[in-house]
Amino acid sequence: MRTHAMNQQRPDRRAVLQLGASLFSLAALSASPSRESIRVLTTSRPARAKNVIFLSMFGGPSQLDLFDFKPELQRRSGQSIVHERRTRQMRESVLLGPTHTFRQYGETGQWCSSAFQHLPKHMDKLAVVKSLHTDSFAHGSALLQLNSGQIFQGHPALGAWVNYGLGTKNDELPGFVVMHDPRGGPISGPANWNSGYMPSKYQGTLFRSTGQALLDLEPSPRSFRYGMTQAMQRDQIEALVALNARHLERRGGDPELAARESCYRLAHSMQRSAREALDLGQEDPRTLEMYGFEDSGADHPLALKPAVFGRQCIIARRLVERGVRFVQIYHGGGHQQQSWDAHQGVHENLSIHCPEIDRPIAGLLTDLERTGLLDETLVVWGGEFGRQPVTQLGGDDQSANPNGRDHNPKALTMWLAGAGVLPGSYGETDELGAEAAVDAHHIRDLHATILHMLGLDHNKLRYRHGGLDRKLTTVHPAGVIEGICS
Amino acid sequence: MACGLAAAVGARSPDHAEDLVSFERDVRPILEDSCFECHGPDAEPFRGGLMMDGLGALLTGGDRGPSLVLGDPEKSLLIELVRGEHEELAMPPDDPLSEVAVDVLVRWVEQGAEWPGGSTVTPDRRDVDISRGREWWAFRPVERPTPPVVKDRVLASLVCNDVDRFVYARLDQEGLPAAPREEERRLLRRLYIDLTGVQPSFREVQDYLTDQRADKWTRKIDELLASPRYGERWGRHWLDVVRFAQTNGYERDHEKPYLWRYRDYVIEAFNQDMPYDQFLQEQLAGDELDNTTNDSLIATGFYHLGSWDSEPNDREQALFDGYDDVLRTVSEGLLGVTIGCARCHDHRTDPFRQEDYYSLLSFLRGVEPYRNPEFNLESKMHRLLGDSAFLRRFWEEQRQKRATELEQERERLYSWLMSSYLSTESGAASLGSTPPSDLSEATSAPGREKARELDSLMRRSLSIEDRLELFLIENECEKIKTSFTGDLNWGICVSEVGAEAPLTQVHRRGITRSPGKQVEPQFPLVMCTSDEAALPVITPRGIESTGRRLALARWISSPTHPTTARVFVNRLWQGHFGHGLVRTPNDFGVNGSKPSHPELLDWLAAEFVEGGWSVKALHRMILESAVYRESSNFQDPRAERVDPENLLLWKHDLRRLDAESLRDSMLKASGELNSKTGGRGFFPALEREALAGASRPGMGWELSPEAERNRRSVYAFVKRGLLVPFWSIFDFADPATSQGKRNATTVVSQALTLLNGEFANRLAFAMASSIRAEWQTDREGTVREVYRDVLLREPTESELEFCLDFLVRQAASFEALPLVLTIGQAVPRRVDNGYLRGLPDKALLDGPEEGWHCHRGVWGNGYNMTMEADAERGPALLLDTPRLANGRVQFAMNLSEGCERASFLVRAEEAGNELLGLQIEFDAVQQEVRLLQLKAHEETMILARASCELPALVDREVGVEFYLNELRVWVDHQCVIALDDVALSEVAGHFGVRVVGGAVHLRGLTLQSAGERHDIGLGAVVNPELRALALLCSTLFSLNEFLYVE
Repeated sequence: MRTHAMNQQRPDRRAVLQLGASLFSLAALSASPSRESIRVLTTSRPARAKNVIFLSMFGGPSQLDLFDFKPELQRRSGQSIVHERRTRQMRESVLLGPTHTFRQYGETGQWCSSAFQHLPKHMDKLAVVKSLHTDSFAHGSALLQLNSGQIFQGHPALGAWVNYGLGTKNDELPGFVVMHDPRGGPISGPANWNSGYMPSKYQGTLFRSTGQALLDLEPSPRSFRYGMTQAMQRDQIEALVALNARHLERRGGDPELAARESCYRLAHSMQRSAREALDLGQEDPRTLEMYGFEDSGADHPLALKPAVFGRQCIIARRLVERGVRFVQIYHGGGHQQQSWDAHQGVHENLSIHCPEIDRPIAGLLTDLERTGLLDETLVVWGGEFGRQPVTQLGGDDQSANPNGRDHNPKALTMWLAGAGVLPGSYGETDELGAEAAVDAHHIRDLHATILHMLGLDHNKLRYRHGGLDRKLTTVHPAGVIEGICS
Repeated sequence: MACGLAAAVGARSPDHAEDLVSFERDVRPILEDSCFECHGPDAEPFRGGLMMDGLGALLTGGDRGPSLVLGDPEKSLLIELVRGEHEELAMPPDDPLSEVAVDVLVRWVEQGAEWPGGSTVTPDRRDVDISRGREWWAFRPVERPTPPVVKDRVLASLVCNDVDRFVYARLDQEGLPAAPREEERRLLRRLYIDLTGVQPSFREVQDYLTDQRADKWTRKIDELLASPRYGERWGRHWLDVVRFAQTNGYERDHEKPYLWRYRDYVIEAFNQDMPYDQFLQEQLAGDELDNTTNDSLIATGFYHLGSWDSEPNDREQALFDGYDDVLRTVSEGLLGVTIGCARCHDHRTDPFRQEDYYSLLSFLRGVEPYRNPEFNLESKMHRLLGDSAFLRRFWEEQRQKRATELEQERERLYSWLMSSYLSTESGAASLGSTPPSDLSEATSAPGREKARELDSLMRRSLSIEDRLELFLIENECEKIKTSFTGDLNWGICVSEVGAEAPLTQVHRRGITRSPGKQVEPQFPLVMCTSDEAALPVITPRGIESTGRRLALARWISSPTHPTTARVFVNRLWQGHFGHGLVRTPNDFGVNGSKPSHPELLDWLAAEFVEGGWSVKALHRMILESAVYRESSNFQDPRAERVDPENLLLWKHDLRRLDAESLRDSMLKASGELNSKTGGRGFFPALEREALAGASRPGMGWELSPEAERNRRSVYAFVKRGLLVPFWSIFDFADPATSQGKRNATTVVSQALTLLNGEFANRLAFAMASSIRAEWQTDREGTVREVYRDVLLREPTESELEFCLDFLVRQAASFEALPLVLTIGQAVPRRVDNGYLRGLPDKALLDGPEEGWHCHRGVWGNGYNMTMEADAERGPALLLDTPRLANGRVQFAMNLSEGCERASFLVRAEEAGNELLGLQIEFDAVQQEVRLLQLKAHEETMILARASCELPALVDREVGVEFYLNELRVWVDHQCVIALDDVALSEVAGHFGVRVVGGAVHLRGLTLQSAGERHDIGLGAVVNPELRALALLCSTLFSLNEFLYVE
């Protein structure tokens, strides 16, 4: 039998137990009651965050050229040092100073580079954590760790954990929504948002920002169903229910069978609710402009107009408004300069990608604040690792780019905003920005912090599998980054 | 808690004075890396008398006195030694600590040397009591119990065999009733699904029901056990346990070629009723057996079924992660224990010490880790099957031949490139035109040299396709030196480094770089009757392998092994009842469930072993019982209250079909099932949305022909990084780890995929098309046929009436729908080059097939092998006839939501991958209409443009008139473009459609020329009765009666 422990003070938390009444996920519980252990959860103080928008910058943006200003690196640019480039591979390398100029903003006096024009207006909302580190130098495993805490496949993503912990607020939309860059998804694709050993209902659902939002929400043009009216579809659902009735009656009203039937009705209403979430016709044109819909963006063959990411951001807000717990937007798709993976030149890379997200993110923060959603929505920005203070030069690769930076899991900058985040700069890297040095935190601590802000205790949020009570933060010690929690 | 493993934990460098040192984060890694080898808990004896197992030990110190003084690093011996301040002794002796690490220790001592968890270094050790552990029910020897007597007369009267005696005696004890026998038709369906994974046909049901023979049930069991479908069903159960997939997973997720032979081996083993002990021995040590066969070698592919990261962060660690993955699979899958938990520390609850984990691991230590495939005669991993002198000669000849061909081809390309380059200043060479046949000049040696020199320069001038072509040939030229498959049979097999295995050491906290005590192969003590029995007898197998795995295999498959048989009979039980007698099939330990019927479990295990490990005999025993045949539709208030989970089996549980049975039963019901067996497998169609989530959409995927896609699910290609949505939505087992039992969820996406998914819709339509009864003359017959095929019964009168109404109503609605021609983008805009090459043209666009053909169009970009459809010149659907030089085209049009652009071509002529002609583009992003002239190898010219509002799904009447040099475009009866000087000769050409980002809907498409008018039809799909019937089929596929086994 499942064991529930719950915090009676938190109405949200109670929703977990009412999963049974929540049709989106109901019968899974009733169908396999024996060992799906839900052990909940609770932190010592009330949480403000109810939703998360995770802006995932695939490829690993260069913290040294965006937020982590290192005058020493600037001063020593061009000098040679011996440096760990990949795990235990020391190499003679050339330091590369920041490729953009920096200045301080707002009351918090936080540094931001000239790569961003609009985001700096919001520096006083951001807690910029400069001292994170992760384990892997490779995209595949680093992305898995960013999402699931582990460098291995088969573990549930953060969004899955959040939905497992808090339950869903709106049956007509999935609780964990993933949008990706039109240039392609991140490396390893769906493995990044799967539910691992948890039931598939917790896995991320790909959501498109135009046209058909969800897979199979509408039939394809190839199907005999294509073009059916709403009335015809409803007629089919009602027929289905009617034809099921005899079976249901014979079986004495089995709740699982009833739940399945409800799924068909929900599927039908989901078409409407998803379409409605995508319909920006209800938005003020000034709002759209705020998200960068009118901007032309960078003049580069690999660049997209800001409206692309802007559209995803505004849809993220609309989804959160409608009760979606966890929205993850991947920015950067495919490989190399299509993503934030700046081996081929960090200046070029940032001049492609920063304009794509600058207005949209600034707009999102303004909009969330304006609508009051920022109080309960945690916005997280960052990639799977940071980048090196040295250039790509100095290996066997003759074509290595003197303006590029390689991956660096030892220093990663991410920022958080909203929902009780304490703004300001947090943590420091060493003087060259090579390694987290002051208040260093493993990415697990960030996971613990995100859960904490949602009112979930990372030590108590567990799922039994393979002989273990599994945790997002794994078996290694992890703790909340108290310094960024207000 | 541990598992998972294990970040490379390195020393951080907090250089801020105020920064608090954390023991776990900062100090422990240093101690583990540098001190514990000699002073840790596993070091024997502790050097210098110092055991660093806690603060207390440090304060007491070793031979030289206290190691530290709290708060005072300068007076602490530990600090002096690591700083190298003592000439005669520095610590660690060979490899001094970094300054950063020393600094951490200094500040740690300064700050009071906090050591959490009390005074002991580690909770990694606990007092594991092996002899008490041997008393745990699962580790006690299996003893054959006597079947009890059922006293209650009603229950006793139900008993069919000994299985029932155990179950009913227990129900009797609790005073609970047993459900009566299930209705025969449902029972037969249950049997078919359980044994073959496919429901019966209506005819098979009827034949069975009319069969009067008393032993027809037994006969049916034998018939199905003898069917090849049986192995496909039960082989799949096994594949869950061993986490079978055909790719590596992780970033590149490449195929493991020929691994499908393992899948086929498993299916065949079940079909042949291979004794289970042999089945295990072949998988674990098929190469070390006395009589090695091709099959036993293929079986050892077992060792390479798991995920493999081709670019691991830490190779050494990854090696042991790989062993861990295999060890966990053996442990959970074969032994039913979670010994993997002891990788980092003693098992928290079960009697396994960390040493037991590494002793077990040492049986595998000689196994070579997986690597990128190379097919040659030396390779034992990617191995030539049926190796012989003849085959070797054949392989070498074939390879030489192919290598020569490739070499020539490459030289030819180089030479021709060279000559083209030299002849054109710009170097605008293209491989599209034929290379010259006379290459005498260019193939001269200096010419070739020059070609290589100019290589990169020339390459830049090539088109993307040509560059790729060249790249592929060069690659193959290189690869054939070490790897060539030819027309030979290869397999993936286990291989070892030699007759001696490398050392195995305990890894502290599971961290590879923190090796401790050395261990030798030893079976987990607690699973052996005595400590002596845990010592294996190992004989090396020639020079190739250690023989360790054979010793392990013999132990696991020994008749006296405590868990092997129990675990397997439990899996078998689960396959027939939905739950095992132990409900945690992969965990028979303390955290698992205890058996609901321990005696029955033991009795079955004893029968199984004594019966020569025959799996089919075990099936018979279970299936012939009365318990198996209990009704699933039985209500008893007391039983519900006492045993709501039905642990005591007072009824049969209702079960949802798993992904494969559901899909395969749909195929069978629709008459589309293709029973072809074996081989690499087929690739199900993936919708555009499902493909687009990958970083290279389509990479490593293909599209199989429709007949292939109608094969049984077990033959679908399993790609770790891209599980087919239909499968995973219905709870397919994630092949990351051993899966003992699948989830059975109920979620909205299941409804969506059954209602709208490609597979369900295609089958419903195929089924409707194949109904034999004539709708016009025999409506009732039509409905009856659908009912028989899907639900295996006649409809009731009211159902019949209801369905007829439904059909008439829906047919009328379909009839009333506007006749719409829909053309839509069917693949993601950006797609992997390899996938794109394998697609037939017609797969690029959704749309009518009869009377139209698809033109591939121009694909560009090529960034990182990903191709992108050109928005102006991408794929097009061309109308075969009429081809007009002058005339008028008319239609109503609207764009779907998300559609960015729809273009219409007139006078279109195919020229390679280009289309020449005139193109009218409706651009929803710019909200304008443009007229383009498409020319070969030249910039496309925009001849005219006009603004045009194009909201989604709003109809626009479009007319295009073209006569000699004149062209007019009307939108909603307004002339928006009028040109009188189109400088294109008025050749006859196709009408065509292109679409970007969604679909375009056309109504009333007519082409007129010289008084002739052609109405373009929409093909067979639009027959309203057929569509309504397909809708009925799809509805029945969604009914609970179909989705569940009763």
